Amino acid sequence: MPDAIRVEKLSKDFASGAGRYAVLRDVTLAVAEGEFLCVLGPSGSGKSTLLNVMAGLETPDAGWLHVRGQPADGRPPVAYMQQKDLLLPWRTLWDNILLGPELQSREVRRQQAPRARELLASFQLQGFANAYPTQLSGGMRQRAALIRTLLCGRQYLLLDEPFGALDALTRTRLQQLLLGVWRELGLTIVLVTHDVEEALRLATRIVLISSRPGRISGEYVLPWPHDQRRVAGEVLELKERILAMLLGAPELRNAPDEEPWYEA
Amino acid sequence: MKPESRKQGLAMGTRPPPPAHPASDSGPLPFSARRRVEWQRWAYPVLLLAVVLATWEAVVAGFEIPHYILPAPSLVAQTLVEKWPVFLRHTAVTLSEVGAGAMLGIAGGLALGLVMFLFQPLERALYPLLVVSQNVPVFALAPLLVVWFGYGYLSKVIMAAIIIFFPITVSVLDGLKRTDSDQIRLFQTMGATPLQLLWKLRFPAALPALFSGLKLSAIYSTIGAVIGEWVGAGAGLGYLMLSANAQLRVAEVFGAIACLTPIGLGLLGLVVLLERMLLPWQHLSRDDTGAGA
Repeated sequence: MPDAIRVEKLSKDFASGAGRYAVLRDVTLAVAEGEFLCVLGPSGSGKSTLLNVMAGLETPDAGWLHVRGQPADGRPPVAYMQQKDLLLPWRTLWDNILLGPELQSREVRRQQAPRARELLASFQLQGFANAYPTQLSGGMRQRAALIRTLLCGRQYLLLDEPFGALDALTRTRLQQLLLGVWRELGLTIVLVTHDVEEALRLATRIVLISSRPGRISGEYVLPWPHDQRRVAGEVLELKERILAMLLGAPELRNAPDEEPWYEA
Repeated sequence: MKPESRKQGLAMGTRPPPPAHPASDSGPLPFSARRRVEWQRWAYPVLLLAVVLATWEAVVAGFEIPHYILPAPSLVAQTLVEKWPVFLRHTAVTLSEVGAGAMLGIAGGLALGLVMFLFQPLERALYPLLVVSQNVPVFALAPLLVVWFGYGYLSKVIMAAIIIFFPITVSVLDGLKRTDSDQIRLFQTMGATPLQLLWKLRFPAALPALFSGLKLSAIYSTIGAVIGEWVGAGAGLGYLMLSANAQLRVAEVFGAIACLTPIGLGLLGLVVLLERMLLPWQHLSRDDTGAGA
């Protein structure tokens, strides 16, 4: 089976006042069908740029993007979500979540309405279909944004720190909801985050990305089922290891050259 | 590698408890309290106006100021009542000029703002000139417009339109340009066409800016028509002011001013009403109960 999404030898520079600087250098990354991949890195490590390239929002300076084994030109069939909910303030919640189908056609929008109702119910938003975004709390808005992403009808989800702006409790709830739909729908998810805990809670595989320039600096496969992670001692061990990597502990500096901690 | 098994379905066992009502922490204002707030907003300026009018009346009476210098408010009111058919006739003329000018100015401003947005070279060429043109006082144009379009209705309508169109053009252009780039990206990942991007994102996003422009236009709307009437006309409140002033019937001048104010305020009220109808979300907050089931 071909990889769901594959980027190869990806490089991207940005021009700023002081000149050009490398955001991504030689990044090669394959996302397998059905996996929940977390791209973990410090702020400014180019992980959002990586996601934007995958979404077709930015063209790389060098490298290739393949979706299902085919070179991706134009708009790859992915759904994309950010930390900002980006709900349109002039639309009710209902009209917001159906934006994706509506942009395809009126017909698709009508077909998706029952599914939208279902999702509203499972995300505990059923009473708020006619509310405007300004009337909703941050957690409710982000849940709505997630429903909107799901209703785009895409198998591949690219999420850019989707829960970064939420309080810890709301974030945990949304993470559980996301895991639920990932399992239920058999989605492939790439989630970018700087939160080690979040990555450990959600991912089936974690890829570390270094900053300036962004390179893949480590990879960990998480074999534990999601509901056992809170108690598994190995999870804590891995957390320490990843944190040490991110903080640049000297004894781990050369870690990228080692074998991955878990065999892929 | 193999992701963990997926037999659990939507993990309902761990789903969050139903959310509390978003407004539960600070409930909505009771209706009576809200009305009191609304009422107080009007009460203070009205009270101040009453004090000013009373002082004016007292000063005129106390210092025996002649009515051809400064008529007392009571005399102005009396004039308005006695000569109401005259005031009504001239108000109707000015109102129709302002109305037609507003329609022309708004349509022109919308069209120009949109065209400048769609053709960047035109914007770059035209926008600076437009700004410079606003430095030319409208008063300077008025005599020319009368020469070109005659003493009648048309020159006043064009005068009013010229004043109204500029804030509209600027606010439309600004509103269309300021669309959130992240929202544009979101639309792009959803496969939106350029037309959908304009119609479903940029245009609705520009509406609040457009309404700011409309409000500004409404406030200035009467200026153009009145200047046009000053320069040369046979009817209208501007004409009435000039002829009354020349004959030292100052109470009538004040009467004309009193008739002019409601035109601008009425237009402003219309814009505000339209804004509330078209952009209901602008006035909602988490305190409003609209979110309930």
